[in-house]
Amino acid sequence: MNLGRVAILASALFAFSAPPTLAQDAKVWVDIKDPQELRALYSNKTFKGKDWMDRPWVGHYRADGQRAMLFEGGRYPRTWQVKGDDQVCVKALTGPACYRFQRHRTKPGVYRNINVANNNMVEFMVEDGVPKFQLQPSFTWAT
Amino acid sequence: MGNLKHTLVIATYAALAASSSPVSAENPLSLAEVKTLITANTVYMQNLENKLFLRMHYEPSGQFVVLRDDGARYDGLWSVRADGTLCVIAQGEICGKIQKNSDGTYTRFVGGAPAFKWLTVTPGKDF
Repeated sequence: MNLGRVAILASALFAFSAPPTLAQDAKVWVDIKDPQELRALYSNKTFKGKDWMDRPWVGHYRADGQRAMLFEGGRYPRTWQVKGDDQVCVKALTGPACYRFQRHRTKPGVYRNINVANNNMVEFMVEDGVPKFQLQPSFTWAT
Repeated sequence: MGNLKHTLVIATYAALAASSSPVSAENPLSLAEVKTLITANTVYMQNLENKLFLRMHYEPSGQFVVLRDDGARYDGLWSVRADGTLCVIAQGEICGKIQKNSDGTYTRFVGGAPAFKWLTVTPGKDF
């Protein structure tokens, strides 16, 4: 058996797998378009999710815009700020990025963000409270 | 039909991934070899821990995009150190060596342990 050709065929089939439709999405997820709700979502909250490798990450967001991202034993500084009515912009190791947000219709505390640059989505849980943390160096926003 | 297609894809990749992976990177690829292998290309791989299949495109700009077979997409940055260690940054930084296997596949190490089997590498981005 030519494994390479089989893999290419399988890859092509994989690529044509249908993603969920927008109509299906709207039944499950609600857009957040209120800057106050976004500010509350990020103020003294802890986000928990999994990365592309299925490894857990934890993000602590302070109301002052500072954030500590914990991953694989490392701590990574981030900052956040609300932009317009429906976005939160984050500065991190990977550079600045802005996200729109949706909350799950039936599961309290379950959210997902959508990167406005590429529409990539990440689902995560939000819990109240953050531990005390100090991070140096950190990022600052240009005024 | 969708389930059948999905099952076929998983079964095919599982057959490719079934051969064993080395325990440590004894002959890792060099900086030039890693860059030549992945830059502007898409790597089809299996996560050896959770068995999920995914494809990862390494853009020449240093950004990567990942599509998992559960439909989740992620993005971040990638770079290769002088000793051939491949690092990707998303939530945090993950680094490790790449080793070519005797069957033509590659093993991607993370933190010194085999983490992914790279099954095929194809030019461009097809997702």
